[in-house]
Amino acid sequence: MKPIHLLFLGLLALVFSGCATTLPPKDYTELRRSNPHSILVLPPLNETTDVGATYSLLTTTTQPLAELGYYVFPVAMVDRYFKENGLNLSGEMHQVPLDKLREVFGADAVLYITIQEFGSKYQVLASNTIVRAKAHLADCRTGVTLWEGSAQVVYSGQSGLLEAVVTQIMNKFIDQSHGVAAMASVQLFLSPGQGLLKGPRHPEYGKN
Amino acid sequence: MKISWRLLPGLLLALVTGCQTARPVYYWGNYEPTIYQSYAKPGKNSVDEQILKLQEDVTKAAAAGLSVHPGLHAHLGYLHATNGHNDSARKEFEAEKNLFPESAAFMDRMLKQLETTSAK
Repeated sequence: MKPIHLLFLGLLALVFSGCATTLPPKDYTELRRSNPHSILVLPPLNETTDVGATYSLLTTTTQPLAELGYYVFPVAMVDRYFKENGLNLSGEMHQVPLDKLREVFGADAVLYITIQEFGSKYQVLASNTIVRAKAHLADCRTGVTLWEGSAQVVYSGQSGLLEAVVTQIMNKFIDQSHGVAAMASVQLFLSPGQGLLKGPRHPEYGKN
Repeated sequence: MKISWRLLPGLLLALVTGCQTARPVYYWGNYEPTIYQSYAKPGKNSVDEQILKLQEDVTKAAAAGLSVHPGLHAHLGYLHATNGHNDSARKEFEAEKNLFPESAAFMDRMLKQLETTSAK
């Protein structure tokens, strides 16, 4: 049990440090005005050399966005649809005009994510895993930017024995960078004052 | 221990939104891990195995008294269609549409696509 507790504590620290930014709250005027009910998440652009980054991050976005109260289009099906229509790279998918996306998917808003850093740097006795990404949400009808955000999560494995056990546990069940990607998604969309507002399907919709 | 790790995203969610009170709206089980696996280790889990995992989520959601999350039925439909089981696929696309009318345009497109493949 002990290692798990530690793991939680470490993650808590991470989340809270992400939470406790001193950035001024975002201006949500356009988001409120547009009031999107559904979000189409396009496979993220990948500026890193890690070929797995795009789908690692993509497959962590549904839960936080849906729990916020938005309808999230099935990410892998959407990806498949593009590929069946000859668009294989996320860069090509990001170039599709909004009116076309609206026609095909019926989405209210489209989320464009760019991954800027992804993966682990190994040192002698420890490793750092980092995921850094930025995103913007566009109104699918007007093209107006409704929200912009960024996230950076660093997971540091240190040289202590317990830390090593923790790291081992993380590695056992899921690769570490994917775990950090999941945290980056949570930070990106849910950080108070920086993430997205609660959507129409949230019980507290309209209260923030 | 495996369960503890699985609870993590939910815990994180609860924490970050903790200040604003949060109770999960949906049941989250195998959907995101299954999709991630299909990209990270293609071929490791067969389409049938993926279908079983997602159907397990539908059952567990009902047992937990939570709603099925956006995309679960749609993705199940897509997996059935991959297997050529168009009737099962149709049911899942309809289920997604009924639960989430926001998906109607895309689901109708998928349903139409099924018609053309079964007409062949």
